[in-house]
Amino acid sequence: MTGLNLNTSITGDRVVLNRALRVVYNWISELLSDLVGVHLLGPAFALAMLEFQSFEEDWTEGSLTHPPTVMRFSLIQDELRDLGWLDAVLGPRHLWAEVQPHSPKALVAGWPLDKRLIELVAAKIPTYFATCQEVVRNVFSARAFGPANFNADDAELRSLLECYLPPAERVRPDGTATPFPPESIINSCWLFWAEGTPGWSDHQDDRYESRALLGRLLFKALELSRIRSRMS
Amino acid sequence: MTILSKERLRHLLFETDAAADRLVVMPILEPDRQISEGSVDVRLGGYFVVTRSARVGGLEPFLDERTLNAYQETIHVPFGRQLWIHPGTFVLGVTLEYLRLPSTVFGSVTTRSSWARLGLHIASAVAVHPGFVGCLTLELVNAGNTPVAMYPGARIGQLVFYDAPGGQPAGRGKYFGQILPRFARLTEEAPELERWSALSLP
Repeated sequence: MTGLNLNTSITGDRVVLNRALRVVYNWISELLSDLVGVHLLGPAFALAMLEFQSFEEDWTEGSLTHPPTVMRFSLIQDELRDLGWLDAVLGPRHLWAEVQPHSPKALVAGWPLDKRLIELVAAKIPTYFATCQEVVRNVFSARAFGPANFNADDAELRSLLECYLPPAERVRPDGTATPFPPESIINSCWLFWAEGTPGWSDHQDDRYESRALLGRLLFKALELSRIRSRMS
Repeated sequence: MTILSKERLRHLLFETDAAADRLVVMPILEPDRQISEGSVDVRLGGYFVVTRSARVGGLEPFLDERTLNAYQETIHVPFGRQLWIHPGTFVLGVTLEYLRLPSTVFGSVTTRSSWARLGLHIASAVAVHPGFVGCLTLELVNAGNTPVAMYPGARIGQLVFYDAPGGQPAGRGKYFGQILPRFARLTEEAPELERWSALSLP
């Protein structure tokens, strides 16, 4: 493997190579999962990831199992932009700051070897990004849900949340109703949370309580939407 | 207070634009069947709190949250399955519908007569105050002589709504925005008990 000066005819080097390939495999799996997440759930996936990774201390540090967080967000950002979410939804709401591509650290000779492996993979793996994106885009090309669909539902979803109601369905004056798609429901709740639950003024002092309430509304909305869909 | 007519109910449920004035019962899957003169039928949700009396010696509702937690267990019964309620048994259920009452509407929940005739009671605390938000917890008791099967999705109760002109919405209480049946949270009222204890003579 270039960069490590390995001689694979030597058993010890073969072990190192297998270890490096394992890192590549792990990282590609993670990156593909991130791309699938963006295609399935749009900004909601990115915001959930952001919250989850906020506990991570160093976003530039990779591991044997996971690529550096900043690399993952850079790829997620590319996909959000390609799908139109950045321009149509996240940008206008000022919910996304531009993520700079990951800059691999300089390779340092010596031990620990795992650290060298990780930095080497971090330097090389961006060459696979285009292939990963192509694979996922092909798989999800027929998927209809996108920013245009979401924005069509957005105002009504938001007004329901502001009234502490599950954003489950659009009710018409004749009493009939249409369920909102699950992707719209999940995105409306995550965006509402990211924007600070506007309209819930009484809850502003207690974000934990707001979060619990929003979680319940999301859960109920998904249940009711599914019931309505299956009944129709 | 006057009972809201079917026409008025439909107006409040489906034709009111102002969010603050809207009566929400979500979902109403069969408006013609569920909405009648003065009332809206509600369905049984799929979550229940069952009691485990063998685990505790007794309930001390104000003082012992740990015992209360040991006494109850939340279970889920999927649609199409049933929960048997045996005679004399007490189970907490929940409405499938999520409600929101405007400040000028008061409600009460009662058992549909068909179920009451099987010996079932669904609510002791029947009042639904103006401003209520959430799913209603139902106190299910089988007062009959034989076990009764409860099916999530069944129209089990009815909400009767009344005009409450000049009403003020209730504050955000401890059960605000609940979607699952909630057991009593009387431990929060323990300070009230302490005040009464202070009155006792030595």
